[in-house]
Order: sequence, then C-alpha cells, then structure tokens
Amino acid sequence: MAPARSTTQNSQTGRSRWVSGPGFQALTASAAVILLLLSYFALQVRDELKSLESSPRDNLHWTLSQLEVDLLIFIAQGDEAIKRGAVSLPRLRQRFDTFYSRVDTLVNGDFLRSLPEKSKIRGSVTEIITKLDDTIPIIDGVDEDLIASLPVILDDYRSMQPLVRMISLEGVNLFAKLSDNSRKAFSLLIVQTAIVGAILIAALAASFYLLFRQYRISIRKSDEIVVANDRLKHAIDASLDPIIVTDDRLRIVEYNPAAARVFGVTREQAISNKFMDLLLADDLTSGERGAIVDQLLAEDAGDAARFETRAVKADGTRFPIEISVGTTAGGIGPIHIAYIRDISQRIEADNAIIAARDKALAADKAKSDFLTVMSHEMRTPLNGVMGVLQILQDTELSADQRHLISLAENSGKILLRHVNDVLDSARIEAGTLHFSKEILDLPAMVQEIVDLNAPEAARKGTTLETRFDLCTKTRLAGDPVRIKQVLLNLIGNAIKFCEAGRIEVTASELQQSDTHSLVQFCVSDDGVGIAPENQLRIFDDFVTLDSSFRRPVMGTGLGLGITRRLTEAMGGTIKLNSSPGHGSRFTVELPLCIEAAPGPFTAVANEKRPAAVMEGRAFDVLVVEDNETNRLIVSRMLTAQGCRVSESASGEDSVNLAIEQRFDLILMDVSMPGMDGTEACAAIRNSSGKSAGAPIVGLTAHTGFMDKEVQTAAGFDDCLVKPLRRSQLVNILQLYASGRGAQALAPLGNAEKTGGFEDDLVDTEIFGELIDILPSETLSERIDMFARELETGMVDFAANVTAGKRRAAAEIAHRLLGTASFLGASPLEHMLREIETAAQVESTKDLLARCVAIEQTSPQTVSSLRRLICST
Amino acid sequence: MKKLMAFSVGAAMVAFTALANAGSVQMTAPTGAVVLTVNGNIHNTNIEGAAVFDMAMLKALPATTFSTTTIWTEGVGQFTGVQLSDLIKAVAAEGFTLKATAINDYTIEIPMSDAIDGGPILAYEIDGKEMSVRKKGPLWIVYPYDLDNRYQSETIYSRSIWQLSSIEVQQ
Repeated sequence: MAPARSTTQNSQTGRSRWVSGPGFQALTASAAVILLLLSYFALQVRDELKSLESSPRDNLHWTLSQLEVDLLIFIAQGDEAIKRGAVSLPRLRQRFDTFYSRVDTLVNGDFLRSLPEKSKIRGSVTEIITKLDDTIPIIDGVDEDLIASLPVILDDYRSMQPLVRMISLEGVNLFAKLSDNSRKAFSLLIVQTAIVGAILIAALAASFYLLFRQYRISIRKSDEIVVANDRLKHAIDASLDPIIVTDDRLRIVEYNPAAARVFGVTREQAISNKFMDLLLADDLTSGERGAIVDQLLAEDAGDAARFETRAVKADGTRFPIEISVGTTAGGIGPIHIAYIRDISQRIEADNAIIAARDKALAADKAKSDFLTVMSHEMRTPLNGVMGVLQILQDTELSADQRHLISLAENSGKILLRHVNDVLDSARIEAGTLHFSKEILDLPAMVQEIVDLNAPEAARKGTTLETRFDLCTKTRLAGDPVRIKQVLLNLIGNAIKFCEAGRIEVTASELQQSDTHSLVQFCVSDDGVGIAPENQLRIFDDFVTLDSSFRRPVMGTGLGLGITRRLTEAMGGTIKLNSSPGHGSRFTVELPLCIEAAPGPFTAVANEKRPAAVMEGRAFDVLVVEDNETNRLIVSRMLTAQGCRVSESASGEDSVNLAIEQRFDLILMDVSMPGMDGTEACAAIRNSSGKSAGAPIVGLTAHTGFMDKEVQTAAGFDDCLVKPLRRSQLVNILQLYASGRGAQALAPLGNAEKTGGFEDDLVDTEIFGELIDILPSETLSERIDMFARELETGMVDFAANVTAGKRRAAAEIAHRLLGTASFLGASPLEHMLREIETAAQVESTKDLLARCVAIEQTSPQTVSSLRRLICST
Repeated sequence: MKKLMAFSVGAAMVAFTALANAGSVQMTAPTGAVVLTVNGNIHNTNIEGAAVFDMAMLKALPATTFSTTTIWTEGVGQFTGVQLSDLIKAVAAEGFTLKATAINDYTIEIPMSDAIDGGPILAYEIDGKEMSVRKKGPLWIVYPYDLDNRYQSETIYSRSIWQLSSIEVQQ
C-alpha cells in the first residue's frame, strides 16, 4: 500500500512540474525564440535561394571577350575589303553592325548601369560608342566613300584595341570581386542554413526527449491506473456490505458480489438497470422516492448523505437498509456510490431495547403506584391503632401496661414516619409536591436542625459544628420545611455513621445574580465513609448499606433518596465526596430567590381572622410558662381559638393542677426556674393524676429540644419552638383535638421565622399576630415591661458575670430571649441566644462587650415595637 | 510541378503535330530578303531541305506580343513576334533540340521543350518598330523574363539569341 501511494505522489509532482513549473514557461519562451529565429533564417535562406535562382546578368565574360573578338573581326574584314573592294562591303557592314550591337548591349545593359558613374569601364565604353556613332555616316554612306575612308577608320579602330582590352581586364577584376562577394554571401547562406539545421535538429532532439518522457509518464500512469483499478475492484469486491455505483441517471454501472448476495440479483441482471426500480422496496411513496433520488444525486449532502430506507430482494422480501452516498467525478459525468447496509438486525435490536425499556418503565410505575396506594392504605389503619392506644392510655392502667402502650405508640410513630417517607418519595416522583416560597433565616434554620440533632450526637460523643458564610444583606426565599427536611436527613445520616467523631455543617453563598443566589450546604463527617462503588447508589430508594449492624434507628432506606429528590425538585444538586475510613461530605447546592425589599407591613389584625378551631367545644389547655408576657400571649392565642385556658407560672404549680384537673392539652415551657418543664412533665406522667395521660407539648427556645427522641424520652408528645406562631398552635390543637387523627407535624416544631422586618429589628408577622390577639394597651404594657426587664436583666447579667455566676447569667439571658422571641424581636433574640451560649465559655471581657451591644440594640427594638403599635 | 506538366504536355503536342504533318508540305517561297533559315528535321520546306522566311512570311504567322524588361535594354519593352512553338508548327519540325545561330556566329542549343505556348518568341518588333542589326535585329529570341523567375537564369539569357539567322532542328 505504502509504495503505491508514494508512486502516486511522484507522478503527481512530476505532472505538476511538467504542466505548470517555471521550467515549462522557460521551455515555451525558448521554443518561441527558436521558432522566430528559424522563421527569420528560413526567410533569409529563401530570399537567398530566390536570388540565386534568378541571375541579374548575362554571362558578361562572354560579352566582354566577344567585344574584343568582334572588333578584331571588323578590322580583319576591313583589311579584306581594302584588298577585294566593294564585294566585301556588305560583309563589312554586317560586322560593323554586330560590333555596334555588342557595344550597344554594354551601353544599355544592366551591367554598365550597375557600375559607378565615374568608373573607368563606363568612360571607355562611352568613348567607344561615340567613335562608333561617328563612323556610322561613313558605313551607311556610298561604297566609294567607305572604301576611301577605310584605311583611316581601320587605323582608328586598331587604336581602340588597348581600350577594349582594358575593358575586358577591368571586367575580369570586377567579376573576381563580384564572385568573391557572391561566394561569401553563399557561404554565409550555408552557415545560416547549417545553424537553422542545427537548431532544428536540437529542437527535434528536445521534442523527442520530451515526447519520450511523456510517453514514459503516460505508461507509468496507465500502469498505476490499472493497479489502482485493480485494487479498487478488489476493495469493492471484498466488502461485506453491498456497494453499488450508478451514473447520473441512477443506472447501475458497478455492482459488487456482496450486493448480489444481499439482494439476490446477479451482477448481469443489475448492470444498466435503474437502481430505484430494481432494488428499492416497491411500497415506497413517490415522496419518499423523490427524497431518496435527491439524496443519491446530492453533490455534497454532508450528514444527510446517510439515510435509512427499505429495499427489496429478488424474492420480494423487503428489508430495512442504511445507505450512505458519495458522489465523485466519473469518466462521463458524475457517478454516485451507494454503500448499503442491511440493518434488519439493528432495527430488531433497537425494537427489543425499546420494548425492554417500556416494560421496565411500566414496572417502575407499577411499583410507585403500589407504594403510594399501600402507604395510604397503611396509614389509615395505623391512625386507628394510634387512636386506640391513646384511648387505652386514658383508661385505668398499671404502670407496666402504660409502659407497654407507650412502647407500642412509639413504634407506631416510627412506622408512621416511614409511611410518610414513602408517601413523600412517591409524591416527589409524581410531581405533586409543591414548594412554598418564604423568607428564610438560613443560619437560624441550620442552627435549629443542628440543635435538634445535638442530643443524639452528644450521646455518641460526636461534636456538631456550624459555619456560615452568607451575605447578611440579601433576603433569600425558599421552602423552609423542605430545606430543613434535607438538612435533617443529611445531619441525621452523618450522626448515624459517626462514632465519637466530628460533624461540620456549613452554609455559604457561592454566587449571586440579580434574582437568585446559589447557596451551598455542606454536611461533613469523619465517620466510616462510603465505598466508591456505593456512592451513587446511596441516593437511590430503599438502599441501606449496612443492614447487618450499627443501625440504632430503623430506616426505610428512603432518606437519601428523598433528600436527592427534594433537592432536585427545588432545582438544586446534591453530591457526595467520600472515601472509606475518612468520612463523607454531602454537598447540596440550592438556587434561592432573592427578595428585593421587605414587603410592606401588613397588620395581621387586618386579615380576616380564621375561625376558631375549638369554637363550641370544651377543650381544656394548661399553659405552663414562667414568663408573664409569654404566658399571656400563649393564653390569648389559645383563647382566641376557643380553648379554655388555665395558667401556671411554675413547674410545681403545674404538676398540682394536672393532678387535680384533666386537661386535653398541656403546653409546657421546657426551661423554667426551679422545677423545669422536663421534670414537671415526668412528674405529671408518673402522678396517676387526672392529666397523667394528657398530651404534653413542650415550648422551647432551645432548638436542641427539637429531637423527637429527646422529647419522647422526656415524656413530651411534641414540641413547639418559640416564638409561637398561631398556625403552629392551630396545627397542634387540630392534631390533638381530633384524637391524633391528623398527620403529624412534619418536621415538628418548625419555627417559621418569616415575614417582614421593621428596621430589621422586629418580625412584623409575629408581632402582627400579637396585635391581633392583644389589646394595644396590654401590648404596650408588655412592651414597657419587657423594656424594664431588659434594662434590669442586662445589669444583673453583667453583675453575675463579674461575680462569676455564669449559670445565673445564662438563665437571665434565656428568660429575656424567650420574651424577645414572643414579641418577634428576632435580632435581639438572636443576640441573647448567643450571649446565653457564650456565658458558659467566653471571657468576662467579651461577655461585657456583648452586653453593651445588647443594651444598644434594646432601646431601638423597643421603640420599633412601640411604633408598630401606633401604626395600627 | 504544374509547369513541368505543362512543359511535357506542350512537348508532346508539338511532337504530335509534327507527326500529324508527317507528309511534306511545300511552303511558299519568300519574296523579300531571307531573314531566317530553318533546316534539319523538318517536314515543311520551301527550298531543298530547308524552310526560309522573309519578314513578310514571319509576320504572316500568328503574332504574339508581350512586355518585359531585359537585362540588355533599358526599361520595359513591348516585344512582338512569332512564338517559337508556332514556328515549329509551321515547319512541322520533329526533334528535341533547336540549334540557333546568329549573324555574328553565336550558336546556342535550345531544347524543344522551351517551345511552348506562352514561352519564347522570335521577336521582330520592339515597341512597334522593326529592329536593326545594330539593335539586335532583325530577329531576337525573347523569353517573357518578367513572367517567371525561371526565365531569369543565365541559361535562359544564353538562349536569348539576337541577330538570329538560322535554326537547325536536331534529333
């Protein structure tokens, strides 16, 4: 193959040198010059030959010598006439005439005319003719006179002899010169002819050489063509796929054995037949046929030159083919080469794959449908079981039985959660899940989830840390419930696979556009890690990697699947970096809307008040809250919903009340001075009093208390996070009033810290609810009270810190933050929460600095609150 | 080539004519001074073995006139005379060579092939006047030199005999 190619290249370069190289131009130019020279010489030679052919003169030697002879004859005749007399006179006269004629010829002839004017011969001849003319009268005269004058005439003519001789001799000299010249001219002619001849011979030789070269090149080329044709024929013949070559009218001009095999039509039958009529299926429409003809004839169709159609075999069987077409210049007009492939098998395989895919999709859909239906069907009886357990709790039971029922109830709750997971998953898949859009407080949200998981992490000796890198200026909006669900799953998962480890949760803004901000949440742990082969699988449904051990909490294996789907449904991505033994890092990136400006303050009072859920029903609620303001707010909210509210300011008090009276619901502040909520709850549960089985819902500003397990362990049924929102309260009321028939709050205790902010210091939505339930005078009083509390509280805080009473200081901060939270003074609440935590760890100096900051924020917050009351 | 053909055809015709007049014909005798004697292989005679012509007899033969320059005269001359071929016909000559002799004893051989129609004439007039002996008369064989450069060779010049007196037809 390689040598053949190199030959081709040589012949190409050879040809190009031959056809268009500078050598060729030089050759042409020199050929033209030679041709001109040759023409010039040829003309020259022709002229010379012509002049040689015609002679310009007579034989002058003869004329000149004859002049002398004629003179001598005349003299001799004269002598004879003197002797013999008149008898000889006619002869004499004739001789005179002859001589005269001779001289006359010289005088009038070309020869004398060609001589110069002053030439000696010319003069002599003139002299002679003058003498002759002088003699004429005597010659033509009478005989007697002639005879008498003869002696004188003869003497005179004898004296002319030297002159005539001189003319002859001069003539000889002249002719020697002339013939010398003519010889020279002739030899020049010969030389010229020789040159022309030599050039002609050289040109002939050159032409011969070039012709010979051309001949050799053409021989070599024809050899190459033969070889190439041979090779091409072999290549075409060896092809397993049919190759059919047609002319511009689509008549078959070449047809390989594979085509004969595939189509069952022999080469002899195929050649010269129309490709379209012979080989394409006869059921193609005229439109399809037109398109195929266009594609076959297209000069440079690119990708369109490959297309699929149907062909027919000799026995009438139709089958699918793929044709790729190439067009090239043939000997006479373009030729079209069709490479044809029988694609029956591929089409079959494609169809099989499509069928398999459809089947798999159908099976998957059936599975999802089944799960959805089953979950629904399971939840209804499960609710029944839970209700029955609740009723059982209200009956007289031994402590053992109560414990058993409690176990059954917990199991039921877990089961309910799993069923809900499955439903969530199915809903996301079905696309029926809708996402709300609320203003988010990302740090608080993350912190809340972290706090919720902190007890479990602590139990395993794992630390939970948070880190934020967020732009505080922008307000982002999204679905807090779903985002929290995502984080909860990831953090819960991390805790599950960490043993005395460290978990870091971060939230950072990656990039911002005018309308969106890309927020990244990272949950990293240094736990067992996940093997690479499982890293993609874990986001699938029903995947539990280590089902054999280390499973403190039973899981459906849906957690990460739901997480992924939620993330993706919110337009985000989730990915995992992990290596076994070095921990894992889950990264969630969510695009969140940027809310341009705080919405206008909308007083909740203006809203249509929702119908009180407990209207017309006896629903007794006990509110246990040490803070007077908070207690008032919760009580009012409950009253507004139609509940009968009893209040208690301390744990001990509440236990007594609960024993004496049966409450439908107890709302219990978790952290209280003296007997705290947890202790009070346990006391009520263990009291066998009237409200020992009543649902107890915790009220807390501590997100750490959000963990269901912590709550359950402490005997709480649910938990609400401060600031308490009416909607949450309504949910709780509905849940417990309906005998726990409603869906559990998911996730529990979601603090929806949303809505507008006044001066960035007050959450107007929360405060709006307060305006709604409290008369403005009362609210004003409470705000004044809060202002005083803040003032004295911070002074006390500073005093306690200075005195080293850190715990007492923290308690003061906690009490203040509860009230701040209820009033919707979120930034202040946040600062108080921070100082509460910091009270345990930070230096006195740092804490006092924080105190100053709070004391500066406090008056502003209070004045904002007052302004809000006035504006309504 | 064409000329050559014409020459040979002419020659053949002369030969044919000669054969056709194979029978001797007695020509009229001259009345004036004899200017030309034709002898040798001829069939028409007016004296023993020869045909003699005076100027009147020559002028009675078909006359031909043409103009040409010559190397011996100045300018173009108009020559009138009897075509050599016509003379040959008149005397029914048979042969290949004409031996021409002049008054001054100049002798030259003219091949019979020269005697063609459009060829040389025995001129007896130049520019409408008879020629004296001093002016190469009375008879001068003149070729139409200007007509063809083949008539411009030294051989032709040597055949242009003047002061012609006799012609002998040779085999």
